Amino acid sequence: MTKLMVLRPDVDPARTASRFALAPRAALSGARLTVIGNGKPRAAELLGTIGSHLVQRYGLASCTVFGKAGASQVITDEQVHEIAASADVVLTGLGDCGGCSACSLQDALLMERAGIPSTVVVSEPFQGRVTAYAAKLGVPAYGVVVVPHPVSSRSAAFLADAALRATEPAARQLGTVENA
Amino acid sequence: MQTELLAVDDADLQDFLYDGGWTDGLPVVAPTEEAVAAMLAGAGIDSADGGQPIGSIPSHQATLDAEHAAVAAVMAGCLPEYFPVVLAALAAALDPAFNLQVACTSTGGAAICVVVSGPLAAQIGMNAGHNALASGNRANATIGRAVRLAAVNLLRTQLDGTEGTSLGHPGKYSFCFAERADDGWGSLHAGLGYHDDVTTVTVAPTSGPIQVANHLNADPDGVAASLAAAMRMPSSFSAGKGAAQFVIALGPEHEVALREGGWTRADLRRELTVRSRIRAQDLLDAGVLLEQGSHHDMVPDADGFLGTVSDPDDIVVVTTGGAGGGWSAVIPSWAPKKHAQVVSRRVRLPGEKLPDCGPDGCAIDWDAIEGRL
Repeated sequence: MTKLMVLRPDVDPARTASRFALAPRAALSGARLTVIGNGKPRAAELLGTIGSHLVQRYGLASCTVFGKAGASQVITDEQVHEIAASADVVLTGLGDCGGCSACSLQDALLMERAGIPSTVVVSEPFQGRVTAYAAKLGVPAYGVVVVPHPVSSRSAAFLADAALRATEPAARQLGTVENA
Repeated sequence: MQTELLAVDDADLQDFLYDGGWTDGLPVVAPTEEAVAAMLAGAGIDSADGGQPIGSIPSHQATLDAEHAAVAAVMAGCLPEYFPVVLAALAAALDPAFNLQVACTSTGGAAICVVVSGPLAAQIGMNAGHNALASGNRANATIGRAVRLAAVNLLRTQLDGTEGTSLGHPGKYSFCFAERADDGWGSLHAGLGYHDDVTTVTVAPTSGPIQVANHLNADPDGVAASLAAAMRMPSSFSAGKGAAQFVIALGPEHEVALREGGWTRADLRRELTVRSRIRAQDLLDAGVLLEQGSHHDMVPDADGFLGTVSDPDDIVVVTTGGAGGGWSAVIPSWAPKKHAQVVSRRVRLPGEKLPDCGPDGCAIDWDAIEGRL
């Protein structure tokens, strides 16, 4: 009888456990949203529109945009404290390349450590990459929001549609939303 | 490779994998290192890079890597050239908008319906002709099966007993088909904003297909009315709940009727949105109570009707199947889109690199980043 060596088909969840607890999620109604924009082309337009939809559809109290120093910069500890003082939930992005997705992901994780539920908006080619970054940073299965790629060269109508479609997934990452 | 290796006598292989809870009950191909490496190579991935993630499911702290996706593809019987399509479908299913864990555990029993649009479909031999939604084509059958096996073994629904489907349907074995080549009425991938040379995969968490017969009426109004009647079937879960999504597998005869009648794809989506509205009384007559004050708020409009679809873009129109009869299929998402959404992805070809940072490129200091968490 020949012995075969086969790869185990299932995924061991112990390999992907988080190294730290994320901020607890709550109902979104009345929450103050801060968008940490990274200055990538059209990022403010896309994330700002998602923020507006979150306010309208889920009853958030406000949407404020915070512009960080640059897409390859991570927010400072002082900025984490400043944002945490006035935000209940945070949306970061846009991760539409390797470096900027890593930095916007870390912005979100720093806010989580400060107790603020957060998520990062990335474009579709970077879904796998940002998952790899998240694993490297201790939260292998961090919840993200994925939008089509590219963003920067699209029409206003395309971005408006992408923002509309990203709103429900963003709400699901930031707060408690019912499932089936 | 990073994945654990298991030793088994070859004569015991099928029992071993079936008893392990890793199969769909049909025989599978042995996921040996050689076969998995060849599968990865089909998407231009070196076996040393098999650990690269495809996506994750936050609520399960589960991450799928390329290696496990390749294991599923090998087991399902895929040829390596199918693997780029499998990867794109799995990336789409792992977009949090798709909500894979709910789609795979809900009592509703959704299939992961995979629709391929673009030139790669024909290049890898997918069937978009007669019997497109059913058996007999290796690519259709095994791509759909691979996606299902990968999802089940990522979520461990068979291993942990978390598969909550009350009934399910045969599409949960495999449900994958291709779009017919565009003959002048546009294509799904073009409608998503992609160029002709791009191939896309659209995944939808669906109930089984509802066959729509209309052999005698070549009037676009008649075809649309027949499709809409199936969309608003009162005892389907999403009828009248205002936010359903659908895949419309439009048979070629029906496409011809619409096209020659001067309708565009957008016209059809818009008309189906309007015509799939359902009278509240029709729901009540079918024994369906109107949910109110719940997460499906079914308060009728002033005219006594309830919407089934809120946005024409929630209707995915794809022409497929063989000519000769006036058949189409309405394939409903198993639940309103607040629970899970249809997601599309571009298929990345072997060797294709990720987009770079563009003119405002950013370089990062990993040491600085990792030190802060």
